[in-house]
Amino acid sequence: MLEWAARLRQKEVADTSSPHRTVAEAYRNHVEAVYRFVYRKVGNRETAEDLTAEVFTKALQWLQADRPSQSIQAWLFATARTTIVDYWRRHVDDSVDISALENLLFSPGSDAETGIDNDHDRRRVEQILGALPERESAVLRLRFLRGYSLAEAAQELGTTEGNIKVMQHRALKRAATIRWDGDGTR
Amino acid sequence: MERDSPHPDEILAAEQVHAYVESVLSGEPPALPAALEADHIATYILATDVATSRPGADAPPHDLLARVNARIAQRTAAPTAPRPTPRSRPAPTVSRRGLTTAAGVAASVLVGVALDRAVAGLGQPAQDHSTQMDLVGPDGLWYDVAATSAVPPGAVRRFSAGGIDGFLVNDGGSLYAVSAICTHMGCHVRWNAAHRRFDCLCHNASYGRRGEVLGGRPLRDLPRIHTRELNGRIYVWGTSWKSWG
Repeated sequence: MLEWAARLRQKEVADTSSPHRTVAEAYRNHVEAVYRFVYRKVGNRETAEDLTAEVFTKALQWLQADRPSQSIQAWLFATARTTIVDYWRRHVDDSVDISALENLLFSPGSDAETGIDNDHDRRRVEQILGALPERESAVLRLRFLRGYSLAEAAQELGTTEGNIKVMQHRALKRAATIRWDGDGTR
Repeated sequence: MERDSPHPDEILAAEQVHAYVESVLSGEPPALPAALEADHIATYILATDVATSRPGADAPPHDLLARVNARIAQRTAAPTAPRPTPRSRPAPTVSRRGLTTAAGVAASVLVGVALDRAVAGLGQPAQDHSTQMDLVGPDGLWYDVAATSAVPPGAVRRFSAGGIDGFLVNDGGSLYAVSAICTHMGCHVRWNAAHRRFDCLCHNASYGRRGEVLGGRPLRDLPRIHTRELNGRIYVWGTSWKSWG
C-alpha cells in the first residue's frame, strides 16, 4: 500500500504540470482551512468532514473540466460556500430563498479568498455580545464561550435552568437581528 | 425581562434552540428541527456562529486527512448510491458521470497525499505498536510546546500542556511524543540519556525511546501523543477540557 503511494507520488512529482498534482497540492495546503471554515458554519465535526470531502470531490471534477480563471484557493472556498448553503437548505422551509440564506451565513467583510478570518469572527461575536442586554450577554458568554452547563449558568446568575433556556433563546434571536457592517461599527 | 412569564410557544422554541446548542457544544449530531421557518433560521445560524467562535473550537482532528479521505473514497466508490436528500435540489455543479471518470485516478491522488504525509512521519510514529494507545482521543486541542529548533535529532524534551505530561522525541529526524506517566502504577518516568530509554521513578520498569515496553512490570507501552509542526513550532494534541475557559 505504501509502496503504491510512493510510486504514485513519484509519478506525480515527475509531471510538474499534472492537474492531479495541482489538486493534490491544493488538498494538502487547504484541507485544514476548508475544514475550519465549514465547521464554523455547520457546528459539527462529522458534518464538517463530510462537506470538506464534498468540496474536494468536486475539485476532482474541476481538474477534468474547463478550469475557471480564478485561483484554485478561491475556487475551493467559493465551492465551500455553496456546499454550506446547500447543507442549510436541507433544513429550512421551502419559502426561504437562497440569497437570504447566503446573507445570513456569510457576513460582509469576511475573507472570501481564504474563507477564514479569526479576528473578523471574534470581533463580530464580541460586538454582538456587547450589543445585547447585560443578562442575555452573560448567558451567552457563560454557555458558549466558557462551557458552563445550564445548571452552572443558572447558579452563577441566580435563576432557574428554565429561565436560562428562555434567556438564551431571546439573546440568540435578538442577536440575529443585529446588522453588522464588517468594521466593528454599526 | 426574564420575569415575564414566557408564552408556551416561546418555551417550545427555546427548548428546540437549546437542544441544538447542546448538540453543537457537545459535538453530538446537530439537533436541527426538520423544516426551519424563515424567521427561525437566523437564530440557528447565529447560535452556530457564536458556539464555534471559542478559541480552538474549530481545531481539526489530528487525523483529518485520513478521515476526509475515507469520506472521499466513499463518495467516489459508490456513484450509483448518492446520499439521500430530503428533497430534490438543482443539479450540483459536478455531475455524477464526470465524477466516476475522474474518480479512479484522482481519488487515489488525494489518498496518496494522506499516505505521503504518514510516510513523512508528520505526527505518526513510523511503526505502530499493538499495545500503544492514543493518550487523547478525537476531542482535543493542539498545544504549542516548543520551537522545532529546540528538539534537534537525538533530543528528548519534557513538556506539560493541555492536561498531559509527556516527552517530545526526535528520533533521527522523526518527531513524536509519548506520555511521561508509567503504565504500571502512574509514577512519572524519566529519560535515561545514557541508556537511551525511559525509566520509571518508582518501580522497575523501562521503555524504549518510542515508548515500547523493554522490561519490568508494565504490560502496556507508554501511550503516544500526536504531534505536528507548524511555522517552526511543535504542537501536541492535548485535552480540550475547559482549557479555553
